[in-house]
Amino acid sequence: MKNRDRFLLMTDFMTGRIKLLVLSVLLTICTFLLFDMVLTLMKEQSFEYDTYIDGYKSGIDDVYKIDFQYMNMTSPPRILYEQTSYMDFLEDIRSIDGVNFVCGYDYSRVRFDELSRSEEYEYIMSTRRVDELELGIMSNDSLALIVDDDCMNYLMLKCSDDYLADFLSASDGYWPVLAGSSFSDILNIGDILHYGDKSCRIVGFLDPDATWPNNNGLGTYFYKTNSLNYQFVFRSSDMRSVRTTPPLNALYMKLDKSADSIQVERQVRNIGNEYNIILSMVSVDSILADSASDKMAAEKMYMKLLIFMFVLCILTSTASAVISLMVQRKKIGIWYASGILPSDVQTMIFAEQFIKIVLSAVLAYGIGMWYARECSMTYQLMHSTITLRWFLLLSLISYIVTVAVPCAYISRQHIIDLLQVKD
Amino acid sequence: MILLDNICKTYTSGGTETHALRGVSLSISNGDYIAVMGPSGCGKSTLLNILGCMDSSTSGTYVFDDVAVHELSYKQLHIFRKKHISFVFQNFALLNRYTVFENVELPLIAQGIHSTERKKKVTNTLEELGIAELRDKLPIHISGGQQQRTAIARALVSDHELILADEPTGALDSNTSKEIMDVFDIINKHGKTIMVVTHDLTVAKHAKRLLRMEDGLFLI
Ligand SMILES: Nc1ncnc2c1ncn2[C@@H]1O[C@H](COP(=O)(O)OP(=O)(O)OP(=O)(O)O)[C@@H](O)[C@H]1O
Ligand SMILES: [Mg+2]
Repeated sequence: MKNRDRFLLMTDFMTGRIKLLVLSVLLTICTFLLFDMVLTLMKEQSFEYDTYIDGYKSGIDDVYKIDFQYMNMTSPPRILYEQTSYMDFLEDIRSIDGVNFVCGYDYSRVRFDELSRSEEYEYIMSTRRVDELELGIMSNDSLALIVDDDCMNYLMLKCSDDYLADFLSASDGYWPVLAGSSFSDILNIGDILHYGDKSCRIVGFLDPDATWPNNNGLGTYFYKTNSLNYQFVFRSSDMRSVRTTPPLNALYMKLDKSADSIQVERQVRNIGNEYNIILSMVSVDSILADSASDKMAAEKMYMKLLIFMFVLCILTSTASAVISLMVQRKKIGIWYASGILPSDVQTMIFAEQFIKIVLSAVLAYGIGMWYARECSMTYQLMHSTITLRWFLLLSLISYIVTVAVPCAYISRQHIIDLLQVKD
Repeated sequence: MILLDNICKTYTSGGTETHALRGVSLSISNGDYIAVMGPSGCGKSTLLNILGCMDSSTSGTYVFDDVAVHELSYKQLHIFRKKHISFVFQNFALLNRYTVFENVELPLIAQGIHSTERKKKVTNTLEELGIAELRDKLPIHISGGQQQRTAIARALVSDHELILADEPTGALDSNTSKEIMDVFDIINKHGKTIMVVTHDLTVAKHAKRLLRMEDGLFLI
């Protein structure tokens, strides 16, 4: 057969039941899309758990040297303190005079505060230095929990006072601050800045292309942004007030070794009652164990759903391919009787399924992407990169099955039977 | 030249065996014109299907111009049929979504013939059969006789040496039947080998040879 004729017959083959074809493509798109969404959700979920667990682990092991404060002059860094960060990421941020400057948040998240400076509000978030994390105090609502000096003493909680004192003495009573690169034109190293009741001194500038770990609910990733150039990075504050924030309403405190955890719990409860906050205390070990088992359960559930979607995708595309063959049996019989070979028909099945699967996959993936971009911030990261190879695998397997099954079906059909099919 | 020797065909379905052909032998020379008659279920269609490579025999030899057809595989049978044999069916077996022209063109497409040559051949054949003016009509818009002419045109166009017709007039009235058989007569005069299965003696009388079948065998 000539290629052009093959194309014409192919067109006839495909358009022989155009409604069915459209329907089956739509169905395939839908199932592919569902698969894509389940996969994305699954990846997102397990990534979140990983981040969470890693945060705790690395927090306990190597994060205790961190002592930082973050300030954003341009916009409230509301999203910046949502989640435990990968503290390992912070290493590459500068170390000046033996002090690490980091832009981050969270590990021992204690503070999110507003300072009013002229008419503007500025947001400062700081973390307390923690040597060991022994207890996590979880608050189930979003009210602030303020822990004052007396309370800290009573609970034998450590705060950054010691370090602060060391540091302040080492820097003539000024807070060291790293300034964004855009300030290098107007500020010099050694310049003094005033923030609230604090005096700060510029000790360095960020690289123009400095990266910071950032977190917007997806887990930690680096962002390299121009806005960094307009920021200052501080060392930790001496502030005592702490506030828990949604959505992760947890406050982590480091206790002295000698602290009586039962006593602490009671005291913290009292504080909670005073401020009308429901508090519960959990040990880090149990947090880790819970997270791990939650992760397992979530993964299992998603895996089941995913396998179900996978099978559903393949079933729908294969079934529609077979049905489209079945309704064309008579035509195929007549084709055979006119000299068109079974191999020609098989080629048509190959081509048709290729077009169908590629079309469905591209559209479903495109819609998924569009959804990720336009509708769901949280999808963005997971969707494009991580799901792609699974999506390709699904398409490939779907293609193989949707070709193999109809080919097997048609090769079992005898020409005499095909010709006897009633229209 | 076709030689059938001791062809048997046994269908097994649901544990019961049906002996559709019980050792049929037949020789068909080029340009032959054979009618096969016999009671329903005697194996006429089965014989025709085997001759037409649409089915294979259970045993026996079938030689077509020195090719041992009985030894061919399912795939090879398709290819052999494509090269040598055309069919005319009782129910015409036309594609309803194709025009008369396209229906007739189909075997030429299958053979990979170029479209300009296809057009010439199809037009000639349609003219020969007197249905040239119907070329752009759909089968459902023409009469049964015209449909069968279209089917015959499709069988003729690829210029195969053997044309098999299973009750080609079964769905037609007697006048139209005669017209169709006249067409077969002309085709045979042009040198084609024809085998027609029929229940109608007047149809059978058009043939040069009349074979009677009963219970899977030829009556001598
Ligand atoms: N696919 C099949 N499976 C089982 N038995 C079959 C099959 N095809 C035909 N037969 C049987 O083989 C025998 C011969 O059938 P065949 O169709 O050749 O008869 P026929 O002479 O063409 O009859 P008719 O004049 O009614 O068309 C019948 O008994 C029929 O039931
Ligand atoms: Mg019959």
